[in-house]
Amino acid sequence: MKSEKYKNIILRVDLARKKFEKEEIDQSKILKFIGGRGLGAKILFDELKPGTDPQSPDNKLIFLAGPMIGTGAPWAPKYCVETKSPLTGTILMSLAGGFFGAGMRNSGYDGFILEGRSEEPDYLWINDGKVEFRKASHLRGKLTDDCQETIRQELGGDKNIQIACIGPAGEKGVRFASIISGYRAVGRGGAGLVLASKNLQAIAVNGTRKVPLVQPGPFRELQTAIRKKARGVERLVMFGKYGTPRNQLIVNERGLFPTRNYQGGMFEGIHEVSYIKQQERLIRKTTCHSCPVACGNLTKARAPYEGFETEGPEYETFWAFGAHCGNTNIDAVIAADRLCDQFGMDTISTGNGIGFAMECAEKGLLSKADLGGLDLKFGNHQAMVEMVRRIGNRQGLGDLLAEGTRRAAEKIGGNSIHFAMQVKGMEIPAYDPRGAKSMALTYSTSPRGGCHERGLISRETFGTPPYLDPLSIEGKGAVAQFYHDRTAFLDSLGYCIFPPNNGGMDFQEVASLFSFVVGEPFPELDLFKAGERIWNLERLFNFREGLTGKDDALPPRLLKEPMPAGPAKGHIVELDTLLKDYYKVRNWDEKGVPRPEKLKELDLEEEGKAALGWKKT
Amino acid sequence: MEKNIKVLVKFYGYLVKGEGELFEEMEVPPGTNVKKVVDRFSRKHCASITGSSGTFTQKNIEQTHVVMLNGLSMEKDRQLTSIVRDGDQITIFLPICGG
Repeated sequence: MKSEKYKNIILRVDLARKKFEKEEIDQSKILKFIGGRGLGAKILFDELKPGTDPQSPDNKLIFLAGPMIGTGAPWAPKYCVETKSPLTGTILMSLAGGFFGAGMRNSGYDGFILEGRSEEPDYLWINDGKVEFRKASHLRGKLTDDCQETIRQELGGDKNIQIACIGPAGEKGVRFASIISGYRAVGRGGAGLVLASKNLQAIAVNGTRKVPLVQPGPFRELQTAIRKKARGVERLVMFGKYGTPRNQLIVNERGLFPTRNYQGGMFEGIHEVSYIKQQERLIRKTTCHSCPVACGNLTKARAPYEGFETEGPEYETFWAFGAHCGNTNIDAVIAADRLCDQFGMDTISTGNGIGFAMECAEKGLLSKADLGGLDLKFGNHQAMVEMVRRIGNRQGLGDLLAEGTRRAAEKIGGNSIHFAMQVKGMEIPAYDPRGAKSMALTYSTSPRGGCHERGLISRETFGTPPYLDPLSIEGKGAVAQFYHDRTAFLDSLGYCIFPPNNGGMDFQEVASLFSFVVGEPFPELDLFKAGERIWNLERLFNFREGLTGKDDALPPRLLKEPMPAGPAKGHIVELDTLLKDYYKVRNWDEKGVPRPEKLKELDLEEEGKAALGWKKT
Repeated sequence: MEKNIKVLVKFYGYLVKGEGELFEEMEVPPGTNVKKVVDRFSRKHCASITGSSGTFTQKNIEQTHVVMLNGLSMEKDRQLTSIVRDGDQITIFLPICGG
């Protein structure tokens, strides 16, 4: 049966007045920005006053479930939280898998725009279209698992209720505080701190509303065919078996696995903190909504960290609390991962910051008094795990590291900014761009700062086909643009990026599924055009906030210190040359500003005018 | 006659007796290229590897796996003509995006 048209319903919530209203998003906006990340960028650009303090009531926090989420399409669990980041001051789009995104749509809404600040701690309960503000003072100080379970019991104990909440890290002002739902995190950039600054402890959702599909017949036929095909794709099946941690060994062999705060690219202790050891601690495999791959690993730590169970650690977390801190104790990695989730803070920024502090201590830039009695040296897993707690509680040195490595380096001084491994204030993750040159472009130009997820160039990092020389800089601008735009539309649709990148589906199939959802023809090329539009809009947001092409930077270590050993030995990042090529491919000027003709082509002239002061031609 | 050289072959493939890695030090005559080492390794071990559709074959490796010599992927990885040297490491793996 065909419905009239695709409907996208947003709930706008005024937290101070405890009022709310429904809004329908115009179809033309969906076709231009898709949903999720893209739609969030558009709403934030249109509604947020430039210069807004991210922690003020004026900041907005936007939850959006992209159009594929909850439809039954495989691999589409990733909802997006959009806001201005308290860590970087840039636009922030932070995505999480699990079940909350589907729960949002089943509750009757495709998104929530949270405005203002509650007078008292509250949480929102959204059930089959009904909205209720509930008191949350008794939830303050609770770890995220306790908070979720308390709320679930208050609401009748239904296991289908999905809850996204903050933990003590958000309450205490950790700049990279996350939002946790189940075991999954809206991890990066401090969305949890923005939620805390709104005095909102959590959002709970449940319902039985059907997710809109304009052409359900052909949609089901195609998604069934994709699922059937996926069962025979070797790469997908293996990805499901071990999940992301398996790639640690590959990236290490390729010599770009950052070790001891990026002092090297190969970790000699890798086999002690590998997926093989993780499998020995496996409780069971886990999955996100509508995913036939099930790459998650529920893992249990052994002594001396018995009692800690976590879904993960994933690749980045393994790295952050493994090679980055010179740690070979896998049970400490599991404990650190779980503590981060319980406190509600990002594992990459937490681990990156601790590795940074370890190098500061090694170089004598932190005194014994600064370290608060901890022997914070590379490889000391007890000190590492204790420091996770101290960051979550903002205690001692943890209080400084909770500000992020850029701010910490500014306080510590010396030459510490040289090896503070961050971009735009966001800590960079687990691929050394001296051994994967396109990744330098992802880190330096990612709109939210130093992250891999806005363009994980797997041909370089993991050697996926077709062959690409990771050490060459030739043609890398075009390679990066392709991945950046592709990720932008996959994020906006609500897809996990891994199955499409492992042969699970092609982009013609993605475009067809989307066209069946919205009831309009949508060719593959339009997906890439939408991705390009989104990437440019996010850049315009940042430029309006005062950023420039000079912020497309990397930590000095990567530009000046040659990789000491391994396949990338002797390499630095030739960032200026890479950026020049990338800007040219993007049709941005030599300062990295999108040219008027490019904005016209992308139908972003109004936004360009607002951000850059150009007149419409 | 020149003495054989030793190379370490690391396989991060599908399932090898329940887990996804297998290492073997192989002795080969001087002048052997990477392809010959990979072929010899494949012939020896394929029967003990289980793929998603049953028994693994040499063809599986040729079609789907990447070969690295000392951490560097071999361009157009069927042209594995580089001559191995004593102490070289050859890595064979199924490339997967996920991190």
